[in-house]
Amino acid sequence: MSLNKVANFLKDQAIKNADADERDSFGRSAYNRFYYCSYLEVRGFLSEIEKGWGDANHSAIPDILHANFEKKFKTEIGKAKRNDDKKLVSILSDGLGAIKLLKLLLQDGYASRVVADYKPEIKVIFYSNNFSLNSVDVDMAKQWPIKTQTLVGVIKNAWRHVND
Amino acid sequence: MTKSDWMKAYIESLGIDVLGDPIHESDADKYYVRIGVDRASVDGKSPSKIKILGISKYFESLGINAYFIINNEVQNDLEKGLRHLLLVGFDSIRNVFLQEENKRVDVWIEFKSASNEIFNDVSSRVKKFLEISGFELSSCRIISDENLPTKTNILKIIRLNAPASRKKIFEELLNKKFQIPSDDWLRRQLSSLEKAGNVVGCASDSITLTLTSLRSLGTEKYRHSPDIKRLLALAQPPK
Repeated sequence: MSLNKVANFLKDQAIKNADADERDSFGRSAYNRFYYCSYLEVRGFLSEIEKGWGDANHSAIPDILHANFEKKFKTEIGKAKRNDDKKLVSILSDGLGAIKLLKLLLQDGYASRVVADYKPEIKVIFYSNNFSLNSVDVDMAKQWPIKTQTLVGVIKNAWRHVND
Repeated sequence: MTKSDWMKAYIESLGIDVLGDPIHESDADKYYVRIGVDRASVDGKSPSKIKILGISKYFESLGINAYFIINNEVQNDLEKGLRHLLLVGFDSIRNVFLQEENKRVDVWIEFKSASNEIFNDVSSRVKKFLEISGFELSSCRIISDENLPTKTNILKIIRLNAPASRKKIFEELLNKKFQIPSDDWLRRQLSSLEKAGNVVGCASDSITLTLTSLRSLGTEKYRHSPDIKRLLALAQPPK
């Protein structure tokens, strides 16, 4: 989670800094780091399961999650229902819910990262000890790594229960 | 006018609030469009999924690949409020977040340690908080580090090792990185599986699956098929 520390440091620097250009740079870099923290967490998890997925680019991840986890969990939910295993149904449903949220989070984060890195004309807007970039509040971005860690944990747990 | 400006103007002409600028991602030739949910709408569903899908299809017909990100401010505010309420009230909670759709809310609560005792208390506070805010609790998902094997996990271990002693089942579940609270816990699980007709005890403390369980677990036709694993397990020389 050291990247997360860096992201939070950049966020604080952006708020503290008095220079307009510097605070904009610190602010947009914070978005970049918050996103990368999430992306690398997911990629790390995927590579634990299949080495090749460790090289997955940003846009490939939602597809990997869909094809290899979502489909598997759905099939296994059917089997667990037939076995009257309510606990497994619940674990797998949580896994499906986590995939849905994780996909949204990664798309959201990636869009912000593109703005942060490639759209300098879109400025960071500062207001009362906080800031936003292209209408994304930094407090929301700050939650990405924490949420990702939780959601990956839920998916990992579901996977462990069905990966024989 | 750039394509991005045109897209924004078109979406806004349909009465949908576009937040910031549509962002073009050149690698995938994709546009990310952030749109706001209308707080004033009676059912909280504006813009509807159908409306967004319609716009998406229209853009697609023009060769524009657009991905819509819904910025649900109501959800963001609710999440902040609930997180504050629970993190202040319960030391054992690590994080809280939620997903709101059509006034129904899925809440995710991550505990630092398994805390079944306070679950009811947490759950009723969540429900109350949402009620006061005009929402309905759809589900409350509890996330903890607890990693107990489920019924299916135990049955699969027995299928692979049948006839298997309780000791063997215990060891194999631990090998699968499951937590087993105690030997007595496993004994009770096996006993309830036997009562339910899932397993049957054989001679010398050995347990095997019933035909019903074998059928309901099913099989798969690929290299990791449970039947192949079973054959390989049988072929292993005794240790």
